[in-house]
Amino acid sequence: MFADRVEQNDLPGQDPEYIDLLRRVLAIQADCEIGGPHLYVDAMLPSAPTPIDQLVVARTAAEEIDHFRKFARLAGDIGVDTAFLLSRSNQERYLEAFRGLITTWEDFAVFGFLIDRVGRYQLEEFANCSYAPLSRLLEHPSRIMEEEAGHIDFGTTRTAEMAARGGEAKARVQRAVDFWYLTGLDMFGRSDSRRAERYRLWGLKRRTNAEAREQYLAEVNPLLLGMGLTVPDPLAGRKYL
Amino acid sequence: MEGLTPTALAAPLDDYLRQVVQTLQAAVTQGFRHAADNPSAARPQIVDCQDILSVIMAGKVTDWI
Repeated sequence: MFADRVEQNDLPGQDPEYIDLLRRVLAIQADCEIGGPHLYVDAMLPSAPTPIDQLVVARTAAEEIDHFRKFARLAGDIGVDTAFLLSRSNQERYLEAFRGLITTWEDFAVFGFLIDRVGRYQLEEFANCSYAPLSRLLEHPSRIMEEEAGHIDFGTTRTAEMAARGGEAKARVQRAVDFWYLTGLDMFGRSDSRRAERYRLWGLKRRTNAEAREQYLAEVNPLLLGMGLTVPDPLAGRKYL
Repeated sequence: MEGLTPTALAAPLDDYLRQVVQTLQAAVTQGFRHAADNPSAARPQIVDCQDILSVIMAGKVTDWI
């Protein structure tokens, strides 16, 4: 395992594979950060249930745009242009989770509950990683991590509230869970991913895809059960096992 | 290594987005303050947020910088 702490100025002397993986992971993370607002801003900002909820949508988008800015700067500083990510279509996003649109409040809430939580797992990988500028962004105390925790808390609370109403409200939120749960599990990638192993070898990630996914399941399933919701079959309909 | 040279947009895009985020967050904060007494009083700030976000969602970076 590569245990060096690499600063930006050290990069020219690093292995080309390390640089390629670093450039790739920064571009993907920037894409995910800006991909969120592109999913929900157009539909949810005008239609969120209350003015307070509308402000929460705007605040969430502002924070995600700021996260994009930070990752785009890290990428740009080492020659990776990510400006095109601001205008690419949702269908072109790196991860499937960001390729559609969110048009219901249930989906917005469950996205925060389940998908931002997957995002937290990804960001945790970078804290104490081998590329020091990236690590510093995520080490405690990290504004990004605090803001993502806020998105997760809001989504979890709203999901629980809708589930607690029962009836049609609960059925709608269960449908959203059924979709985003599987999407979230796929976001961890294939358990036998060779690239994921290379990320670990170079100290850019710590957990295997399977380990991170198992930890996520252990965290999320009890929350779903506690809300009185059904835990979907974690294998049915999955694309990346 | 030539490929590690900062991109031309790295600094100006960072500056532009930093200002956008600050403006958005100021509008949101003001909106929450107004909404504490009367939720509908936050309407102007919500419209401001929509206007700002519509520019960012359009993604026309060459118009910004």
